[in-house]
Order: sequence, then C-alpha cells, then structure tokens
Amino acid sequence: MKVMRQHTGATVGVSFIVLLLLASLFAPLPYDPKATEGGASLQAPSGAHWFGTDGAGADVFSRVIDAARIDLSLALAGTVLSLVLGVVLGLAASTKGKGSERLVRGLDAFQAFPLLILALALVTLSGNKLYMVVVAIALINIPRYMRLLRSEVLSLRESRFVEAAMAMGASPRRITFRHLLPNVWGVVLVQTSLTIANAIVVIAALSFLGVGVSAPTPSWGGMIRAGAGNMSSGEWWIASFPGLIVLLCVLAFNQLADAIGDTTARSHR
Amino acid sequence: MSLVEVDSAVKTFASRVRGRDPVRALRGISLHIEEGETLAVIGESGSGKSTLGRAVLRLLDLDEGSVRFDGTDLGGLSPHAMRAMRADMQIVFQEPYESLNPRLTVGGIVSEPLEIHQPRLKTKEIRRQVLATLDRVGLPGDAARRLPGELSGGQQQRVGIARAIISRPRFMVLDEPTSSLDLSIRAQILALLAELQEDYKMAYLFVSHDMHTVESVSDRIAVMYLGEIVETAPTSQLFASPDHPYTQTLLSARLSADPRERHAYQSYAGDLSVTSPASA
Repeated sequence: MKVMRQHTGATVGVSFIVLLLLASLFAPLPYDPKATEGGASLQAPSGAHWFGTDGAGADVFSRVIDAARIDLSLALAGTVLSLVLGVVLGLAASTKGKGSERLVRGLDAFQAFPLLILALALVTLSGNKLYMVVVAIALINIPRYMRLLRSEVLSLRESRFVEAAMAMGASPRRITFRHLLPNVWGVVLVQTSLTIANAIVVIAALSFLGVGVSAPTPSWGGMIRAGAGNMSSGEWWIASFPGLIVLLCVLAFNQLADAIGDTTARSHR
Repeated sequence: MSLVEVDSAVKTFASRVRGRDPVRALRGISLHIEEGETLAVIGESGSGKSTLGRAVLRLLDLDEGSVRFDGTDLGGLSPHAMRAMRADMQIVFQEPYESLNPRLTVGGIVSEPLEIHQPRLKTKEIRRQVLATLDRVGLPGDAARRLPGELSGGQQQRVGIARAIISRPRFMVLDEPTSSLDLSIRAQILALLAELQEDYKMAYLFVSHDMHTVESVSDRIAVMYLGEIVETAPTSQLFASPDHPYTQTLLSARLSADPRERHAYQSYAGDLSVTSPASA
C-alpha cells in the first residue's frame, strides 16, 4: 500500500515536470514573458493574469512557465555532467588502498567548503557565463557520486558473485561492466533524481543572488528576488508562484527518487 | 605427478582490530590431489579451510609456499595467464544466492565461463551448451530465463554447479556446497556432485566442517586445526582408527544413533586451551 502511494507520487511528479517542460518549449504563452506593460504593473491574480503581474508589468504566469526552459535545462545539464564524471571517477577511486583513501579525505576537505559560495565565485569570476552554472553544479555533485560509487563498489567487490566471476577467469573490465555497474545503477538513479532537485535549488539560489541567469530572461530565482521587495507591501504573488514551482519540482524529483529506490530494493531479493 | 600440489603454504591476515595479533590462517600446509580424486578438508570455523580452498585457486596470494596445478606454479603466472588457466579449475560456494549476480538471468550466469574462455563460440552454440548443462544438473530449460532470486536454494546451488562445470574443469573446490541447504536437498546435491565427478573425471577439494557429510563422497580426508593439517588418511581408515586426538573429537561430535557408541571417543583436551588461530 505504501509502495503504491509512493509510486502514485512519482507518477504525478514526473507528469508535472514533463508538462512544465513541454509547456515552456512549445505552448503558446498568454503574454510575452519579457514584455512589460507600464499600466498593468502589480496586478493581483485575475482571469486575465492568472498569477498576476510583476513590478514591471510582465505576466507572472508566462514568466514562470518560460523560466522552466532555462532553469530545468541547466539543472539537467549539470546533473548529466556530474553523473558521467562522478561515476567514472568514483569507479576509478573504488579500490582498497592508500591512494583511494587519501582521495576520500580530499573529498571530505572539499565538501567541507561552502560550495554555494564557491559556485557563486566561479560564476561571477567567469563573467556570468551560463556554462559556469553547469560546472558549479557538477563541482557540488561529483563528490557525492564518487562517494556513493566507491562505497557501493567496495562492498560489491567483497561479494560472493564477484569472487565467483574472478574464479571463472573474468577480466577486471568484464567484472566492472557485467557485475559491478549493473548492480549500482539503482542507487545511481536515485542519486541522479536527488541531484536534479538539488541543482534546481542551487540555480534558483544563484539567480536569487543575481548571478547566472540575468534579467530580463526569466528564472525562478530571479523572479523571487524581484518579488521579495513587494512581499512586505502585500503583492505576494510575484515571489510566491515561482517559489511554489521550485518547491513542486523538488518534491517531484524526490518522489521519483523514492520510487526508484523502492523498485530497486524490491527486485534485489 | 599430482594434479594439484600445495607445498608449505603460509597465509597470515592482519587483524582487523588494531593492535591484535595477526591471524595465521595457513601455517605451512602441504597436500596433493590426484586426477579424479576427492580430497576432503575438514575443520571447524577459523581452522583456515576456506582460506586453503581459495589459495589453491589463487583467489588469494600466499605469503610463502607454492601451489602447482598440473605442474605449473600458479604463483608465477601473469594475471592474463592465470585467467586462462581458470577454465580448468572452478569453485562452488557455500552461499548459493550470494554467489549469483542478482541482475543476470540464469542463462547469463551459466554462459559466462564459455563467453570468457571460448570467445569465438557462436551464440547459438552457447545457448545449446547452457541448456544441456542446465539439464545435466537437473534444472528445467526455462530456468535459463529466470533470475536467481526466483529460484529455491537447492535450484540456486544447481545453477552454481552448472556454471562451474560448463567449462569442463579438471578440478573443483567445493566450499561447503551443502551446508546452507535443507537436509533433504543436501543428499541430492551430493549425489549430483558425485555423478558429475564420475562423468567428467574431475578432482574435488571438498571443504566441510562435518565429517559425516564427506564420508560417502571423499577418497581421502585431511583434518585441519588452527591452520595446520593434523592428519591425512583414506576415508575408511580415518573413520576406523583416527590417529590424532582432534580427529577423534570431530568424530565424536555427532551423536550416534546407538547410545552404546556415544562415548567411544574421548574429547580432545590436549591443545584445546589454545582455540584461536590468532593466539596459537
């Protein structure tokens, strides 16, 4: 019963993300997300403007949907880069030995550093290049993948079926691709789903701080920043709707991670 | 020349607890196994018998001593040459489920030794041999499509045996192959192993903690205690007149059905104050 509910959550979550992406890519938006109408600024949500308008008179609904394109693709690009490099480096580091243990200490030290500050510095110093946002996400998440891969693979290497493969005469390469990797995909997928959620938050944080995606291109973090000042004067909708979308996206990917974790745990025995 | 010759094998493991003495798993073991013969190695847990089984297959490297297989010193082989050699030597594990990759189908598991050692074999021929081998170990052909988790313990062990024999090895290490199975299944698996040995003329190194499991299947028995072989004798002779007091203890460990025989053997009191391989 619990499993069913989690899977429903994942289904709803994935449908939401897909719908959001498709809408941002193909759907005709009611208003131009970058156009401003001087007379129609700070209007509360209504039939004409579902999510209201912001201080410059742009339609918040159109901007929230349009922002999905850039925010989600940056998050996905960063995640793919983290996944590929993290898995390769993690596999390479998954040997028992002094070298690989030192590497883990190095990762500890690296992860102790406030990574959001590092990301902020990187993107700013590069002259606000968008690809640096992707690099920053990778820097934050690669160590997580490496740790995960290393701990999973180290315990798999001790397993009987890997010993059996060695006894059969399987080459290290065969053991890696036939016996180790297929048995870590489950946890890697879970981690990937969580990484996307994390990347969405990091991107929103960066644009909230004014780096990465810059105005007038809409981004959720940037919209929250723009609307934050209006909160105190009662115009809640400008910051709340992009905030809500970020929340829903993160929830959706967490649900997906749960469902994947569940499925792999069940098929394991 | 014997098929397998182990000469003064020594293996010491560093203790996992810092400051503890290292564990001396093998303390100068020598033995030989002839073609087609079954040598049983008996010992309690911690006696080093599983370490011995792995050392014979060079699944771990010895600190001292050597293992020769068919005249070749395994310690001197390159990793590549050693892998090629493994077509002739196989192992069946104690834990059937843990020894099978849970993500591969039974067909994928059993075909692997062929894919490794005869890479030019056609898919169709591999399939034919897999089905024949499954049939030989008493599994239905449709088992090939199943995952190990869908099979019973006895069936899983049959898969492990099928994987071991498909490359037609001349020698197999059986590491307590029946001790995790139900009593009724045990006899079936033992009978299967005996039949396969007859058919393929394999030599077995049968590692067990129980004398009576190996009584019917072994030609000779070596008794291990704290990393040393204390006695080796033909099976019937060992049961009739055990030499070493530890062997006598092992034999009396199982209660006879006849109460008058129960105190036939004395317990081994001599060296038993030293019970850990680390402190001895």
